[in-house]
Order: sequence, then C-alpha cells, then structure tokens
Amino acid sequence: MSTTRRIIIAIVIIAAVVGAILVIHSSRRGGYLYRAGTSGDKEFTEGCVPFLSGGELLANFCQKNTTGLAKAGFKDKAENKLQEGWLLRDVLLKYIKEEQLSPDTMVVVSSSSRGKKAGLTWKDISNEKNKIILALSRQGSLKLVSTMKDLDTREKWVQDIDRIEILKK
Amino acid sequence: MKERYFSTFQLFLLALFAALIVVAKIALHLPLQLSGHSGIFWMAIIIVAARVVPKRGAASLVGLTSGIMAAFLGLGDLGGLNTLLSYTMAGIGADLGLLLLRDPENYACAMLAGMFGHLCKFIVKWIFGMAAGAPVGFVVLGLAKALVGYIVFGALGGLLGALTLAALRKAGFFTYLLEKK
Repeated sequence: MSTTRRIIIAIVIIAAVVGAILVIHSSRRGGYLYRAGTSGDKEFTEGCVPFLSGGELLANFCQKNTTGLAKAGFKDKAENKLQEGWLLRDVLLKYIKEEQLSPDTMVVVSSSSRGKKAGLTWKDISNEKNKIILALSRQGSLKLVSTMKDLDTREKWVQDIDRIEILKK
Repeated sequence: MKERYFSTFQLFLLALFAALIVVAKIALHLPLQLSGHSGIFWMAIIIVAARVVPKRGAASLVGLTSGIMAAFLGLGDLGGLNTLLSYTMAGIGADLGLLLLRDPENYACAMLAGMFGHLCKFIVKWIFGMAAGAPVGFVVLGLAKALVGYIVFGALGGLLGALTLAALRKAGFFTYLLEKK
C-alpha cells in the first residue's frame, strides 16, 4: 500500500472518530441531535439543589418542591430561545422569610461542574423586571439566567447549578 | 536463551524519553489558554522515541512509563488513574497510527501519528469527564473547540517530532545507534 493511501485512510479514521465523539457528546448534552430525537416538556430531574444559609443546609430544592411555584420566562437575545423556570425570588421565599432578607443580602448561585458562580443582592433578585430565573435545561438541571445587565449573556449565566447559598454578614 | 524484544539499551532510551515527557509537562508551559497545547511537546517526544527505537510498542511503553511517573507525581486534573490511562493511551494511539502510517520521518505521517496519539488521550479524558461529571477544562470551554485544539497540537507535536528526527539524522545519530546495536 502506498504512503498516500495510508495517509488517506488515517485521515478518514481520525474524521470518523471525531465525528463519533461529536455525535455522542451532542446526544448527551442536549444538542441539535438530542433535540431532534426527543420531544416533550423539560423537567427538573437532575437531582436536588442544596439551599444553604450562612453555611447551614436549609433544604434541598427538588422537582417536588416546584409545585405551587409560578413559572416565569423570557426569550434570550442571542438565540431567541425561551428560558423558562422559576424566579429565584420565589424559590428563596419558599425557604426563608422576607423579613430576614435585607436589600444588600447576598445570594450566591454556583455550579461546581462548570466552575461558575454568580453573586446577587436581594434587591436585584426581588426586582421582577430583572427576571432572575432558575431555568430548566434539556439535561434536567437548573441554570441561572437573567435579563439583568451584567447577567444577560450565556457566558455569565450559571449552568448546572448545584448550590444556592445566602451569605450572612 | 530467548532474545528479549527490547534490548537493555533500548529500554534505557525509552525510559529517558518517558522522563522527558514528564519533565516537559512540568517545566514547559505555553502561554495559551487552549486545551491540549502541551501535546506539542510530548507528541514530539513520543514520535522521536518511536523512531529511535523502531519496534512496535515503543511509543506505548514510553506512554505507560511516563504515565506511571506522572501519576506518582500527581500530575493531571482527574486523579492518578486518569493520568496513567491518558498518558498510556497517547503512546498506544501513536503506535497504532505508526502501525498504519509506518514512517515517522515523513512529515505527514508523523503529524497524523501525533494526531492519533493525542486524540486517544482526549478520548480518555472525555470518558473520565463524562463518568465522573468532573469539571474538565474542555467541557467548560466547549468540546468541539477542545477537540480541534487536541488535533492541531497533536499534529504540531508530530511535525516537531519529524523535524527533530530529520535533525538527528543529519547529525548522524542513527548511524551511531546502528553501531550501538
């Protein structure tokens, strides 16, 4: 076999492996192929999110805790996709009384798998216009999305949330 | 007495190459925020090793040895097993590539063998990342971007290896090796 033919075979093998990786990854992460192959509403199925206050675990926010919470959403600027879920304000008030929160109380929403976090004040969270939402992802996890300035792009959103904490002074 | 597959001299050379990979990983850093950029160094070393010791399995042995060393030194972001397997697979991948392509001194062949090796390392990291749900750098950056990075730097590593081999040939290193045999 000539060297040229060997090189062509090697390129085909590499292309096939790369293609296979991208297809598998797309299927797992909810990409186009996944969306094309699945239908139905998104659900919060990826376990519970620990909700802490001053380092103490108050509760775990799970699918069953979403009953009774009004859904909210908006269409994002970049992809014109509906980002729908529950207002962070409503989720917080489910576990903590409003009197315990001052306008500058800081709430940190983080994702250890993404290495991302966002610190928000209660003043911003309580303002419904900011649309600070725990939105559902295709993978069944939650992501923090918002239309608020400095938190209105995908890069700044916190995907795969696994911790919500109220910081006490 | 049955002749050993690798001579003591060849094993000694391969161990040196393995050590060189670990040293390169620790000491040489490119100011690039791109996944897999270190492949430019170690795929070059693996390709050179595969030609200096022209036997099947030489690159795999370098990968395995460097993997053991790196695991003991605590290199890698997903633990010792991941480090051991990813380094080993880089060697096995390069060996498989050279099994098909044969000539590591040919620039195109060396680049493709480098790609094979680095792609195998990527696959190990990717599988570990999926299994562990760990924050692997390339998951955060985006898989396609990381994959392109691994392939490009694997190819550049292979090219660097082929250029090194050309320089070694010019310097008469392979003639010296034949005498040593």
